[in-house]
Amino acid sequence: MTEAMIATILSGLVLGSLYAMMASGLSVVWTTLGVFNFAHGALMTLGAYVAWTISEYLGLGLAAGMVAGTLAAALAGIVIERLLVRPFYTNRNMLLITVMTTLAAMIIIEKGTQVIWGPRLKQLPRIADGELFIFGSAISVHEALIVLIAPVTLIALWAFTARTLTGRSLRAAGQNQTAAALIGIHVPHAYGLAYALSAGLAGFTGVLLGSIRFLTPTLGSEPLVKAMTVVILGGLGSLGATAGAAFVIGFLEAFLVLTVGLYWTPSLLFLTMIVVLIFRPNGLFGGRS
Amino acid sequence: MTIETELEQILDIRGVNKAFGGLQAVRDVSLTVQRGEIFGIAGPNGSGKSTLFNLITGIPYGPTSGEVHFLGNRIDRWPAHRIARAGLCRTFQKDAEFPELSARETVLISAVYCGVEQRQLRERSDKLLDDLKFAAERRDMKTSELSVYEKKQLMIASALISKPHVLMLDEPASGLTKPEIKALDELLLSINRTGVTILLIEHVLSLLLSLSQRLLVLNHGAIIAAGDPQDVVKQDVVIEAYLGGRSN
Repeated sequence: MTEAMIATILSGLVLGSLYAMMASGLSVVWTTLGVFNFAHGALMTLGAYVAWTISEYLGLGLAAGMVAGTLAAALAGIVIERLLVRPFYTNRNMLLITVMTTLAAMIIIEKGTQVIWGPRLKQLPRIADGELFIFGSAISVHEALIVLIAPVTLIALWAFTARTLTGRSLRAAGQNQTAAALIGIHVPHAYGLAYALSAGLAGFTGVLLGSIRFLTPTLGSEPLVKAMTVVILGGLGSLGATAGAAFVIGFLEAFLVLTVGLYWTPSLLFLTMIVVLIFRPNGLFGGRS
Repeated sequence: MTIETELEQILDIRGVNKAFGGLQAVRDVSLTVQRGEIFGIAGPNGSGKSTLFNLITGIPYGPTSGEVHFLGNRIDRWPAHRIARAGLCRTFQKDAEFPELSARETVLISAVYCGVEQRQLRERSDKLLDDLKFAAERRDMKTSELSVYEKKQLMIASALISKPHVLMLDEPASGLTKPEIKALDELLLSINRTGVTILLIEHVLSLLLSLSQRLLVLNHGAIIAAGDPQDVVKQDVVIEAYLGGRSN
């Protein structure tokens, strides 16, 4: 039982780390533009496929693949913002319209990856091989590295948004578009940067995920739903709240898989989110209502 | 109606109009502002004062027709951030703040696009907040937690950090107490003495008369009087616009 609990905790840590990275990217776009990017999961998929092409197909190694996957997703994010989001900034139904346009982007990317890379399953190599044993429970070195990479990435993201002038400008544009323009901030550029940052993070996370799961055009679909759950449960607010909610969901999922099994776990996760929102409408950690 | 001057023009507005559907919010307004003056704009509620400011700064819209020239450049089709970067800054009647940023952060990011060197930023923003007598112990508080007067100070600081040529203030005295209005009066004079041209919309007439070197009155979107402030407020047309008739 102890071994099972330790394995569950380790699994929760890995899941929480991945969810935190996925959700923080989604959160950046939400807090800056006030829209949910439904293409976020597809951008993870795109990042993973591009990384596979560079790393495996061209044989240039995982590090090069990681950089290329991240940059490709960031570029795709800029294109999505420019073509599918920016034209609707001033539309009073922007939120609803961008749900549809980003869903369209998701479908286009998913179908595009199928056309370009074909239906055969692919997988990225791991950052490092081998296993670690913690109190008798095994965790792959790759997963252990994900647990280390996630907080470093989140701290870097926090430092960028909280400590640099460009990051502060992003936050300013998100909090008051008019006042931001008044002090000379080019608001559409700020929004484009937020999208690029978020999409780059999605691509990077996709590369990490692509070493654990097989690459399919829908690789990012299920993580997207989890990331949305995390962002909503965290209170649609700060990075810290998002990260906290990611680990709550990660540990809860690992615990539910252990106790009630894989079949009912997704339903129970959603049920938990709904119950929490009934009693705490602003999510677990408050934030913007 | 036009108000003109032979001195150095910094802002030149030529026949601007703004219509919202069938409503003519600003009609054929022309005026020039000379460098270094404090230019007052008055008028009853809904007379088009703030709309005129919007047309000049491009926030959130430009004029339907007419031209706005600033420092010799036609700016009425420029995006708002470009106008701000050119040195035409404004504040709003209501708080235009970044609620989750601190006062210090707000001033720092306001300096980003004005060419202040990174290493001088903090020193300069602190000095500006000192000059505006903004309490040191409240500079790291979230903007949403500040008082009305502090928010006004912050709006002015955000505009001033970029060393603007023209500062446009939309009812800066609204919501302030008498001592705060007096402090604001002194503050605006001191800013003007540094060479900053000020356009001032204000309902507090004493402040407007005390500060303005020239005054323009709008009603129903059109200029009804302009000139020396003491003369303008005595004109029948102005009294009628405010009171609906001559008072005794």
